[in-house]
Amino acid sequence: MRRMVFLGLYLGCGMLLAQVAVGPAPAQGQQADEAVRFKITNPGQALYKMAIPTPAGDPQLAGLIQEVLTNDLLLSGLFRPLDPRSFLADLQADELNMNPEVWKAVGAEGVIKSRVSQGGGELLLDCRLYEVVKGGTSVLSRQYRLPLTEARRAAHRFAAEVVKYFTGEDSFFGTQIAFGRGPSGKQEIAVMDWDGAGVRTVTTNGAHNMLPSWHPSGQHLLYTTFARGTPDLFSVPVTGGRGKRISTRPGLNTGGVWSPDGKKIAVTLSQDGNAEIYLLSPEGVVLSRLTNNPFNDLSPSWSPDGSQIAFVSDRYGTPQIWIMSATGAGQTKITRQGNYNQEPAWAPRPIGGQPAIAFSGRDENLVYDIFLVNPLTQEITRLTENRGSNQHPSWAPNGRALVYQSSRGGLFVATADGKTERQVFKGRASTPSWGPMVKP
Amino acid sequence: MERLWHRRPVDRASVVVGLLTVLVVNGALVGGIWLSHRRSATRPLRDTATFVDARLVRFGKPRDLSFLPHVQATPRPIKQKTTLKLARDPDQPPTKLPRTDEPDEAPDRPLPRLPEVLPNLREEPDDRATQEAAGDSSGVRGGTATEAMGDPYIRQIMAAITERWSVPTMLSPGELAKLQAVACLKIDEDGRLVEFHIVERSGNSLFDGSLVSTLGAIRELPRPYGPFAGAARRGKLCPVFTKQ
Repeated sequence: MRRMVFLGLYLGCGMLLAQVAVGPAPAQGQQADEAVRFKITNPGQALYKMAIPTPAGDPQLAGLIQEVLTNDLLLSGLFRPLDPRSFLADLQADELNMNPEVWKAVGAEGVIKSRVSQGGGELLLDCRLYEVVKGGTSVLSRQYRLPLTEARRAAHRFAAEVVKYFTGEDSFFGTQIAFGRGPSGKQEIAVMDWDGAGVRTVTTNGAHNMLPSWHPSGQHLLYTTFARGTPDLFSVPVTGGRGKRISTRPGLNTGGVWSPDGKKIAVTLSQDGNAEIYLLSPEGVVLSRLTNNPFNDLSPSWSPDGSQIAFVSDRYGTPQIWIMSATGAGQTKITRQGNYNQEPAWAPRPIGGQPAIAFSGRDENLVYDIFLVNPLTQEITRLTENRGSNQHPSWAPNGRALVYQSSRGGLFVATADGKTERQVFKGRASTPSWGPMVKP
Repeated sequence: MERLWHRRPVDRASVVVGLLTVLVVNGALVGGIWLSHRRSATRPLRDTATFVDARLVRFGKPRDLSFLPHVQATPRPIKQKTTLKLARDPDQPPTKLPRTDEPDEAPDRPLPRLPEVLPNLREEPDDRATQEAAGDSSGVRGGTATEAMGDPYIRQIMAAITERWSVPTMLSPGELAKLQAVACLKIDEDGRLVEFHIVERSGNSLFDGSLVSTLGAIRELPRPYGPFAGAARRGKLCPVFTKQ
């Protein structure tokens, strides 16, 4: 009997101890580790949040490197550089390392850490890209050793690597823009880096020069000059030098543009009485006439594959954007809104999955703005508004950005959706033309 | 008085056997309880998760009903004015006549304006800010329903996160449609997001990175209340992030 009592006591105490040791049982109806799930859907799409803190090292160079990286990634249309004032990390202590917890707190998705120094006239730049979700190990790391004068180029190169890492695409950070520089009626053709650095004059004839257009090789430019008093088409090496005559026929010889294969020039001539579009050989010999009607047809722009040409015609009363095949067949009006549309520029890649032609149009307030038209659906979307008068768009070679002239004074670059814009040249400038792809 | 029991001398072997018996029995009890708890802990969440269906009202402009047909008065017939034909001046140059083989489709239709950016609580822009879908001005950016439904606390958590969540534009719509990830949130009594873990990754670092960026920047959420408060405090509130 006593044994039974003691056995019962032992068992009871044992169970009590087991419960205490293991923990309470789950509440009735729900186990302790049961998760509660619910769907969160329909995210927005926004630019990738990139933190670009000030590089460690030489303060003067650091500021320049940060500025170039920030500008490049911002105008690529893919990234939103975060405000450095919001950064919590101890940049001096971290140097090239990255503590993910600190960057998570500011909402960064990516971080670029770098260190720059100079010695013996050379720049030493060490850059690393981190993805916060992947922790403290860099996903891209590059070192550059270049002459001090090439500091911007080093930053452009790393920015291009970052874009390539995320998208597999080449970027425009090493490209140049040609434009007419100077007061109206007396402009020379000038060339600069896409972000406005390194402006240099190419023509020096003292006349009015305008409408530069790049050869696909990037080695020379077509341009229209009034050196003889009438608009003539000339060609000049990008490095400068003597212009080469392409077409000096009576009347207009203007708006020449190279075909994508560099074998033909589409140009506006008025030798037969009114403005018409012709194809010329690189030496200026007429290959064919593409338009033939009593009205004005001008401002040709090639499609990326060279099979079509967009142009302006006022044959139905007001200047509108038209397209035709490269042989002149199938001429079709594609803009049906607005009464003054001009300066078409065919996008080198689809925008939002659709072909697009940029143009400048005059709205009901008599202000010019930049628009896109889909040549297939003829749908028009607007890129600029309430930012002065904007004209003569020209695409970056990867189609991710545009440059245009503005009444606000100078040239502006905007992302292909028009949402982000930066002034790249201040002063009197007109008719910009964005050069072909060159790796920085 | 007769003794009811006899006191026997202590038998060492009996004591040892007794102790061993107690240890074995209690050990079996402890082991059994521990194992049953462990099984429930290691069972995949999917098998033990409670799924809550909740929906958020879409944010947008009230629906424009002006397109609906309405009765119009019959227009009065316009009298054609008679015109006098004058003889053509032979000294004037010939005028260019417009081509009439293609009908002119409203040439004075104005060029479009930029889309209106709908004002919203969140300053950070994303493409939902310019969507002109009809909705409710008190709705949630990213909401999809015309009427709210589901547990109120869960809806508040959904709203707070959905408003802020955006994925990079580098993700194409096709890629985005295939991705799904699950993160578990731990929210304290004061509504602070104490910690979060991605428990099921999507396999795409841009998508997963957007969750880390969104949740990492959230400081405060609604204070836990209702039947799911305990799950929030225990870190078992696990939203499933997906396009649809």
